[in-house]
Amino acid sequence: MSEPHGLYVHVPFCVKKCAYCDFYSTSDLTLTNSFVAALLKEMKLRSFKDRCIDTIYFGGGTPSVLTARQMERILSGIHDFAPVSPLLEVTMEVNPGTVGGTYLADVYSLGVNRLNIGVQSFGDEKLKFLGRIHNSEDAVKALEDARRAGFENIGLDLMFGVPHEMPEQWRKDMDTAFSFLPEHLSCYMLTYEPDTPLDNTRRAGGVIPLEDEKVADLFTFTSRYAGQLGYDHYEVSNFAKKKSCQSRHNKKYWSGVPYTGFGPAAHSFDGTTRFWNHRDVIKYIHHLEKAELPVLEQEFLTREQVLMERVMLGLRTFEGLDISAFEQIAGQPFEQQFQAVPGRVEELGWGGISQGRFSLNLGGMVYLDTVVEWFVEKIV
Amino acid sequence: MSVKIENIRNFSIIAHIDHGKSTLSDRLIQLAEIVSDRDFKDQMLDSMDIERERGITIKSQTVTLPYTAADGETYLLNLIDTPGHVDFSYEVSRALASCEGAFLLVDASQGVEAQTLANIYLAMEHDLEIVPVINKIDLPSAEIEWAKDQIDEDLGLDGDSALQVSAKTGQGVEAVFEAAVNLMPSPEGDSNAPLQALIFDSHYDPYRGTIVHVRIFHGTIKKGDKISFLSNNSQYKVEEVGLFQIVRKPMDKLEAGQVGYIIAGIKTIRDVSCGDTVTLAENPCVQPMPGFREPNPVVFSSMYPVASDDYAELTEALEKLKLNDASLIFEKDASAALGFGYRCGFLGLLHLEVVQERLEREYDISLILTSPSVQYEITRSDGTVEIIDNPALYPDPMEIEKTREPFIKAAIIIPDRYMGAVMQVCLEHRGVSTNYQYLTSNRIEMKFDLPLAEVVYEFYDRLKSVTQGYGSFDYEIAGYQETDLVKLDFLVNGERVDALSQLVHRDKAVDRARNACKQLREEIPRQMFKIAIQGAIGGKIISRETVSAYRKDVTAKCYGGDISRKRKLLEKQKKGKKRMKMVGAVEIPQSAFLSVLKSGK
Ligand SMILES: Nc1nc2c(ncn2[C@@H]2O[C@H](COP(=O)(O)OP(=O)(O)OP(=O)(O)O)[C@@H](O)[C@H]2O)c(=O)[nH]1
Ligand code: SF4
Ligand SMILES: [Mg+2]
Repeated sequence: MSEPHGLYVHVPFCVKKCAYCDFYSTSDLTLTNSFVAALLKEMKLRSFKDRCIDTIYFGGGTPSVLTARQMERILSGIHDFAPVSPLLEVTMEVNPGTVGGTYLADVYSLGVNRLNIGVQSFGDEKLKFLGRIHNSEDAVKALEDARRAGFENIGLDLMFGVPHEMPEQWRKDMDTAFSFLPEHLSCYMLTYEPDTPLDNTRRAGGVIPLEDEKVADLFTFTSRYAGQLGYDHYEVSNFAKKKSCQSRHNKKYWSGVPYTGFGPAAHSFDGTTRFWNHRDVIKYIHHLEKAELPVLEQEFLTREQVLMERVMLGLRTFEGLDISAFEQIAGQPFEQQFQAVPGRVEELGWGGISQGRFSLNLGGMVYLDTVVEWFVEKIV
Repeated sequence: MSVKIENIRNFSIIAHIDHGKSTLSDRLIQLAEIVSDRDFKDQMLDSMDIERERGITIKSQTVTLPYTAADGETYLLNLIDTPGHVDFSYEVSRALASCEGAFLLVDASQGVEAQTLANIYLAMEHDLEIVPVINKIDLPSAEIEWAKDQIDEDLGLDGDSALQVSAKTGQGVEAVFEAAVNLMPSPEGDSNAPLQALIFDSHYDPYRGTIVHVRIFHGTIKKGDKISFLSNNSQYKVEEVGLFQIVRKPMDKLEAGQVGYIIAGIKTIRDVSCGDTVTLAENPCVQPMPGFREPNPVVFSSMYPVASDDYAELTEALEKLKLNDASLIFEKDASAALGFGYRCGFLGLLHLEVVQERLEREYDISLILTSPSVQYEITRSDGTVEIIDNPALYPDPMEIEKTREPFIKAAIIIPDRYMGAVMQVCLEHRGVSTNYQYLTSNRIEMKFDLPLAEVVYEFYDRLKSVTQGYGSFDYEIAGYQETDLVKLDFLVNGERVDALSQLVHRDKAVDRARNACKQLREEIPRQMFKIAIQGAIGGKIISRETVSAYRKDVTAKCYGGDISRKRKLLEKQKKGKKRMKMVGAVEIPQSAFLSVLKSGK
C-alpha cells in the first residue's frame, strides 16, 4: 500500500455568509440532505482500495450545520470509500453559533477527534464587523462544551488585522484563547478578497484597511507572544502546543503530497494533476444524480508549476523547503537553479539553509510574498 | 463560378461607426448561403480578436457572393465591409478604389453623422454610384422620415429612394442585392488586354508568404503566370489565384473586373506594397494604376521591444504588419534608456492602440511605447524652422524663437442637454468655441478650435464620458498656432528616463507631471532601496513621489486545497516581471510606461 492519504470534505453551507469570506457556501440549508446523498455517491464513484486514509478534514462552509445523523452517514461512507488507518485524524470545523445541546458530544462519539472552532475573536464588536453569526459568549461556551464532550485536540481560529486594531486589543483575543489551553491555534490575517461584501465596502471607501506595516507588526507580535507561552509557530498562520498537535491534514497541502477532496468546489491532487468540482451545490447534486463526476476543471501541472507550488507552500512552514526532495523534481542543484536568491535572503537576515532545508525565520516571513517571487522568477 | 463581366458588381458598404455595416454584411452572406449555419457567427467579417473584443471593424474585408437575381441571371457580387471609425478611413479609401458602387448606411435612429459625411466624400472622389440605405428600422427609436430628410439635405441624395432595412432582423435585405444588380454599374475592362491589377491590401501567411489582394482592371491571371510588380520589377510565379469567400476559394483564373487574391510564394516582404500594380512579366501593361495617396499620420510615438534582443523581431513584425496595415509608418529610432526601436506614425490614438495590440498578439512581442506626440513647428533663433514630434529632438529652449502647434477644427454633434458639459471639456482642453447651430429641435452641432495635442491626449475619452456616448466627434487639421511648449522629463532614482519625456503646454505641465509621478509610483514595484520619482522641466523639479523599499507582504491567509489559484497569481506576476526594463538600478515594468501614456485618466 502506498503512502497514507488525506481526505477533505467540503460542506457548502453556512447559516449566514461572513463579510470577508470567499469560500464557497450557500445559506440554503434545505439542501443538506440531498448534499449528503450526493456526497456519498461521489465517494462511491471515486472509491479506491489501494491507499489508506489517515486524515479526514471536514471544512467549509460550516460542517456543524449538518446533524450528527448526517455526519454519521458521511463517516460510514468514508469507511466504504477506502481503508482507514488506525491513527486516523478526523478534524471538523465548527461554528460556535451552531453547536448547541449535545452536538459536540455526539460528533465525538462518531469518531471526530479534532475540533477546529471558528472563534475569530472574543470581542463582540469585532465579531459584528466580520459578520459572524455568534458572539463571544457562544465562543466561550463552545470551547467549554468541547472539552466536556471529551475532545483532547482542540484548535481555534482567530483573525487579526481588522481596521484600527491595536496590539493591546489583539493581545486580549489571544489571552482569552490561550486561557482555554488549546492544543492548536490558527491566526489568520484579514484579507480583502475580490467580490466579498467587505471588499466591496472597501472599494466604496467604507472601510480603510489597516496598513501593511501595522498588520505585519501584529503578525510578528503574535509569533513572539505565542512563543513565550510555549506554542510553536510552525506555519505562517498556525501554532501548536506540541509537535503532535500540528494539523496533520493541513501539512499535506504544504508539503505537496496528494489529497482527495469531496463536495462542491473541493480540490483533489494526485501529485501531477489537480482537479476541482463545480462551485455550486445544485450543479454538484445534479451531476451526481446522473452518476457523473461533478468535476469542473482539471489541470496537469508542468514540472515548473510543481516546483513553484513547492516553493510557495514550503516556505510557508518554518520547517522550510526540503532541498534534496526539491532537487529531485528540479533535476538540478538548488544553488544552480536559484543562483543568488538564497544568498540574498541570508544576507538580509531573513533565513537560510540548515540541515538540508531552506527556511525563513520570523523576520523573513514578513516578506514571504517577496521572497517567493524571487524564487519563482528563477524557475524556468 | 466564372461569369461574364456584365454580371459582376463591386461595392463597398460605408457608414459612420456602428451604423450596422458588418451586421448587414452578415445578412448578405447568409442570403448567399456561402457558410453553413453551424459556422456562422455574428459580425462574421470582423475576424480579428481585437475587432471582436471591441465590437468594431478595423480592417476592410472582401467577400465574393454568388447571387441569382430576379432577372434569372447569376451575378458575382464583391462586397467590401469597411470600418467606420475615423482612424481607419485609409482602409475605406483603398476599398473604394476597387469598387464601382457603395451602399451608404444611415442608422435610422442616429441619422447622418460625421463619418457618414466623410465617407460619402471619399466615395464621390472615386466617382462611385452611391445608394443610400436606412438601417435599423426595427428600432423603436427609428425615425425614418427624419433620416430621409437628412439624406436629402445633408447628403444631397434622394431620401425617398433610399432602401429601408433592418440588418438585424433581415427585413428588406434582399432588396440590397437587387439594388446592387440594378443600380450599380458593372466594371469595365478587357480580359484580353495586358494584366493590370491594383494591390489594395495584402497579408502575410507563414506558409504561403505574402498574399496579395487585388482588383483586376484589365487582363487575366492564372496559376503558372509569371507576374511582375511595376514599382520594383520583382517577379514571381503564380501558385494560386482565387476569391475571398470567408475562406480562400481557389479559382482557375481571375479576369478583368474581379476582386481576389494572388499567392506566388512571395517571401521578400518589401516586394509588396499597397497601391502598386501587378502585371505579367511577358506582356506587361504600360501604365501603372494611380495608386493611393500617402497616409497622413497625426500622432507619433516610439516603440521599443521590452527585451532589447527582440529588435530584429520587431523590425520583421512591423514589416509584416505593414502588409496588412498600409497606414502604418515607421522609421528607426534609439533611446538611451530603451535601446533601438522605431518611431511610428499613426492616424489616431485608436490606431496606435490597435497596432500595439496586433504586434503583441500576432507577433508575440512585448513593447514599450513612448508618450504620443503631435508634430510641432519650431523656429530657432537663427530663423531655421523644423518640424519635431519627438521629445528627444527638442532643442535647448534658449535656442527657440517660437513654437507653433497644430490645431483642429472640431465638429461635435450632441443632444443639446450635454451642451454645458461639452463646453466645459473643451475649455479645459484649451479649446475655443467658434460656432454652434441646432440641427433639429434638440440636436446641436458645436464647433471648436482645439489643439490637436489635447485631442490626442485624453479629450476624446472625456467627451465620450460626459456625453454618455451620445456625442459624435469629427475634426480636420486646421493649421498651426503659436504655443508655449515645455519639455517634461522624468527621473527615476535620479536618472532621466528619456522614453518618458513629453512635450506639453506650459499650463498643463504641473498637472501632467503630478499625475505621471503618481502613476509611476503605483506601477514601479518596490525594490531593495527607496526610489525617487521626479518630474522636471529643465533642471527644475516640479513633482515628486517615492516608492519605499520592500513592503511587508506576508499573507497569512487560509486557502485549503485551492492551491492552483494562488499559483496562478504568482505566474501572472512572473509574466509581468519578464516585461521589465532595467533603467539604471531600477526595474521599470512595461505597464509603467503605458500608464504614463494614459496618465490623464
Ligand atoms: N436594432 C438593430 N440593431 C442593429 C442593426 N444593425 C446593426 N445593429 C447593431 O448595431 C451595432 C453595431 O453593428 P455593426 O454591424 O458592428 O456596425 P458597423 O457599422 O459594422 O460598426 P463599425 O464596423 O465599428 O464601424 C451592433 O450591436 C448591431 O447588433 C439593426 O438593423 N437593428
Ligand atoms: S462561517 Fe466560515 S465559511 Fe461560512 S461564511 Fe463565515 S467564514 Fe465563510
Ligand atoms: Mg463593422
